[in-house]
Amino acid sequence: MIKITEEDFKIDEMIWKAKHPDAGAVVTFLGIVRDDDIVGMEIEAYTKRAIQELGRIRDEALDRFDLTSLDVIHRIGTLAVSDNILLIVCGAPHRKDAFTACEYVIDELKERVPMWKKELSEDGCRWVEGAMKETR
Amino acid sequence: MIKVKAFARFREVFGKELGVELDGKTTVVDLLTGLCAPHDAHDIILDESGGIKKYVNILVNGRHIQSLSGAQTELADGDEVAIFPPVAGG
Repeated sequence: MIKITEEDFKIDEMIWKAKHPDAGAVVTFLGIVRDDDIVGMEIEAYTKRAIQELGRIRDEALDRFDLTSLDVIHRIGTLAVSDNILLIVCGAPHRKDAFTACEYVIDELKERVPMWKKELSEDGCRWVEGAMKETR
Repeated sequence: MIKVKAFARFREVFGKELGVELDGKTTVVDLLTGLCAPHDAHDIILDESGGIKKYVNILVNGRHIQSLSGAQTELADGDEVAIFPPVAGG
């Protein structure tokens, strides 16, 4: 599943869905809002293209690694400190593929998926500088 | 009519979405040059020689212009052009 949503997600439900008779490991990455002297964050997406690019990354990971499942949920909208931003759940027969695939997805997402973060502080706001790698 | 979508700090300059009427043969850099003037955005989007700055990402119908003909990519009626800064999700 690839999803971009304003709603929060239930981590335990996503992990439960990743359980499969052939899976021996489920690795998750949870990104949350860090308090860098901010009160919150706004996340914006070019949703149509972000879903398309996330789908490409998912397909690449499924080709490269031995996985039983790979799900990604990314939130948009206004979030507070410690709110959930992103959840990646990788199921695999063995832990190494699950760990490596999870890292592959977050690294590629940060460089390729058209999404942006604006930090909100009591003094104002600022856009987070993004990666320079070309989005396809 | 070309649909132009701008995101993040470029959205704050141009607005979220706007329609631009084609006036004869129009390339991506023609479109941007025309858009920048009324928004006083030349220095944000274009370099001193009138080219597109490296950090400006442009997609035409979902394809990055670097995989098309770059700044000289020709636009057609009904195209969707997206303008955005380097991505920063996750």
